[in-house]
Amino acid sequence: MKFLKTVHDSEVLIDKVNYLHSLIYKSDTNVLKSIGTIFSEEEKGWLIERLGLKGQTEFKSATLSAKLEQLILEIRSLQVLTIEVPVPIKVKQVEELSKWWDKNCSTEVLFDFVVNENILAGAVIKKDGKIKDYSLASRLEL
Amino acid sequence: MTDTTLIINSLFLLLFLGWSLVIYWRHKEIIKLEKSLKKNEQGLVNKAFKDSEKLLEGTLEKSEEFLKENEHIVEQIKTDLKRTIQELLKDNLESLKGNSEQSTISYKSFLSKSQDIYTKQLSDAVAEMGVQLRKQSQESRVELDKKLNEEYQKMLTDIEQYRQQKRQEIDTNVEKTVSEIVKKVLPQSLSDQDHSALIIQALEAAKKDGFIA
Repeated sequence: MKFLKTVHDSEVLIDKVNYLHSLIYKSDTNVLKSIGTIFSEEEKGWLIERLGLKGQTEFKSATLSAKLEQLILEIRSLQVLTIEVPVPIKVKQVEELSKWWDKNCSTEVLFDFVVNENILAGAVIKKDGKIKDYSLASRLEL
Repeated sequence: MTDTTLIINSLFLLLFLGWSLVIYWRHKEIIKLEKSLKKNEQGLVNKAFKDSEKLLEGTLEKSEEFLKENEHIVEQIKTDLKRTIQELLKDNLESLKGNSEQSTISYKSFLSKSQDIYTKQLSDAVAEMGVQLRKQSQESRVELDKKLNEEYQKMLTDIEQYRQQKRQEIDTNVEKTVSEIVKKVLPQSLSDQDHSALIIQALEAAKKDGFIA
């Protein structure tokens, strides 16, 4: 799920999956066609592959429902890396940080950016209940 | 020198300048406060001394007045005593007419001696009272000086404590203000690129520490 970079991204994806799930038992809706309108190209490719729908025109509602629920659980179980930052982070910066992560780290994480103006600059990193303070405020003992 | 190092150095320089300004400002505040305290302190000391001097002078004046009044009363008593004795003598002379001349002279002598004894006792008592009063005034003055000195020392201690407290308050306020200013200004003065570079530097440090992999 390389296209998922932040906790926010994962929440949006879960909403979309839930919406798709709600369409399964509606007789007047073509679920497979809906995938193309609900998800982005990147998400669509990943979803079709994970649901085993490549080249398929039909599916079993119960099987699809179970697979979607499983996907939601998988998304929810992704490891979260909380990063406290002094100012709100922009999309371009998220891309930049993700690139660095993909290049330098082997694990898959979701960034959760939390604004804390007290840290001045740098970042405070939290993972699995542990905290590492690499902020300017801590270096200046403010 | 890398961009990140340059940013960090710039931040430190900015903070150093900020702190220098704050220290200068704090120094000015302390000098102003000390001047004001010194002025108040001098005023208070002068007032205390003036008040005590006034009090002492008043006490001494009252003592002198009291002694003068006593002297006047003594004179009055002496005159009254003399007159009473003379009246007593005059009244008794009539009844002594039948007695011998010797008895009359003895009686006159007795009255005269009695007058002298009473007058002397009275004068001695008044003189003793004056001595005691002056002694007490002197003791009061010494006691007052001692108390005044104690109060002055206490006042100096209080002023020093107040000064320390004010310095502490200024320090706390300055630190709080600087901290607030830095917190508001610094994050905004850095570009997105600077922030990203510093966050990446934090991630690199976390990786080096084995916190992330």
